[in-house]
Amino acid sequence: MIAYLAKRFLTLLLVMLVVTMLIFGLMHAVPGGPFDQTQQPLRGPALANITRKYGLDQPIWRQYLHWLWALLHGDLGIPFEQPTMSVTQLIRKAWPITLIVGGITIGISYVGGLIMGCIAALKHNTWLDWLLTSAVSTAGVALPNYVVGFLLISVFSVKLGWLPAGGWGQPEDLILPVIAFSLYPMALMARYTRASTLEVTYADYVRMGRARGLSERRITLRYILRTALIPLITIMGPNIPNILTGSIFIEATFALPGLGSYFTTASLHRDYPLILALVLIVAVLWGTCYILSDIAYTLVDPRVRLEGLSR
Amino acid sequence: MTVLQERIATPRSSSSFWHAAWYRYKRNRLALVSGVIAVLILVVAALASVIAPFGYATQNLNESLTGPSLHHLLGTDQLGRDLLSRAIFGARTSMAIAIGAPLVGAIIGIPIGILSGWFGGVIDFIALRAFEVFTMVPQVLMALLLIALYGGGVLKLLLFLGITSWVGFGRLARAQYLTLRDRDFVLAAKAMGVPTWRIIIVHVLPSAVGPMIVFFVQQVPATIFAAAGFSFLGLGVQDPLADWGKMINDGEQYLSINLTVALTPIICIALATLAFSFAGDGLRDALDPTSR
Repeated sequence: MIAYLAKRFLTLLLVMLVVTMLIFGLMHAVPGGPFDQTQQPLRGPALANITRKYGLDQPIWRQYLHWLWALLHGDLGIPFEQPTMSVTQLIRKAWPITLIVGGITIGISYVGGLIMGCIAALKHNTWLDWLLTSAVSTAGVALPNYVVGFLLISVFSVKLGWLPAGGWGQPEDLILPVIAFSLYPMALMARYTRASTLEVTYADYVRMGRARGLSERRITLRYILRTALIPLITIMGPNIPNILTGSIFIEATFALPGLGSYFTTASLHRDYPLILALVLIVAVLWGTCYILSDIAYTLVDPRVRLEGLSR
Repeated sequence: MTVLQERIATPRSSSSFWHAAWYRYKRNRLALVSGVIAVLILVVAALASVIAPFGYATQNLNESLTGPSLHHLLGTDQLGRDLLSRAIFGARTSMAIAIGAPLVGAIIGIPIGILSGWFGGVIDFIALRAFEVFTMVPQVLMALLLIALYGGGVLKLLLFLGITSWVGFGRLARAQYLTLRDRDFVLAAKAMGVPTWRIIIVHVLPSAVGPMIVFFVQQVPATIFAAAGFSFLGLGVQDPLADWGKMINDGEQYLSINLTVALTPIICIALATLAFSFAGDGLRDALDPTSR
């Protein structure tokens, strides 16, 4: 197990190296720099000064090595746009907002989606199934979250005036973004839960359980759901980093000062250190969640063995 | 005799597959209606300049933010531009991107996937690592970065969303060819000395194309989502061009004065994404009846 984990994380590390190199190269491949289009254009010596300060006058490979070396020491650099704080501080300020919204979203959408999917499957081919599957889950998957957000804002903020249209600070600010954000994962969850529950419902061992006269409740909880929920790990896992790093669209719609909004501004201002740091966070989370969901799968489903792992 | 029979049988069997698929698709009423709406949206988009009552940039500041009237069926925006016309022209930009971007992704991804699935070995190893690297950064973030660096606009948006969507096509094509390359009909073709390129394109591709079409149609709503999202952030399509996302952005400030300004593009996006998703689902069920 440890050898397997070490191998997986080593691969992840290598992939990360390539990803950061790629992003680094991409950012520097475009002519111009972050200090070319500020409000007050800098004069020659001042521009030279500031590019030297951030090491932008050096060859790109040296800049990359420099960045990597600093990263190994836990230093992500200083954002060009807000030089008074370090990138780490900035992220520490912005990420909790995204994490709170994302955490609640995960809770609501996963539990809600599970329940909806189970109900739809157990009431297969009834009007309830149709409503939950076609109407709710397809609409949730198809409708962009900012569109839902705007519909919510126009109803609850503009027409009714019940909830704030955006911003951050009070608990009420959370309600609309979380609803808009959780619709997609909830719909996805409901869809897959329904499909995998249906697959099990007609399995032979379930019919066998019925034949033995077990109660419907026992069959549902112990026989159907326990098996049906296993494949969902592969759906849940990779979605978590997506939600926890925030949606650039949701955060723009509701004016949340979270990670996603910083990704937008950082990209626009060519804030190299901040972009790299954000990409790094997203990529590390992605990779880790993939590995964790693979491991979780082997733990709950003994038939699955990790590649190259013997127990 | 057998050769003759095969010649007759082959076209008939392949056309009956599409017939059966069409039959299955037709029976799914939701998919059928969605398909009709999706085609309708495409037609409106193609004929925008003929259908629209006004130009997309025709301003009339005396009539800004008016509600629906006989003259302007959906009212006007803050610059007095006819909302209906802008929604129709918006369909043109949105659909161009929504169809064009997955096309770019397919053109890049499918050949890579085919080569890696068919030949395996080193090519497969490299392709798999490339898939890994490119899935690490989500599509929307990668596209955002590219747009921020190289600028927005319809063509660039199309290109960037296309480039960043290749991995899905690549993975799909790889999986298809990986399973198909060991089939008996491939072995038979090889035994008869058919050149490899011909097996890949003429013999195997028809069996692999169904899931690819489904995936393509399923990419369309996702692309509408992303493209309109970028325009909504002010990064995509620029004024005076009309785009649904751009129109939400315009209408956002006037929510309390005239709701229809924002509501029109929102309904357009919702309608288009729903239509293409339901049509895509119907297509999946029709082309691959074993998947459900």
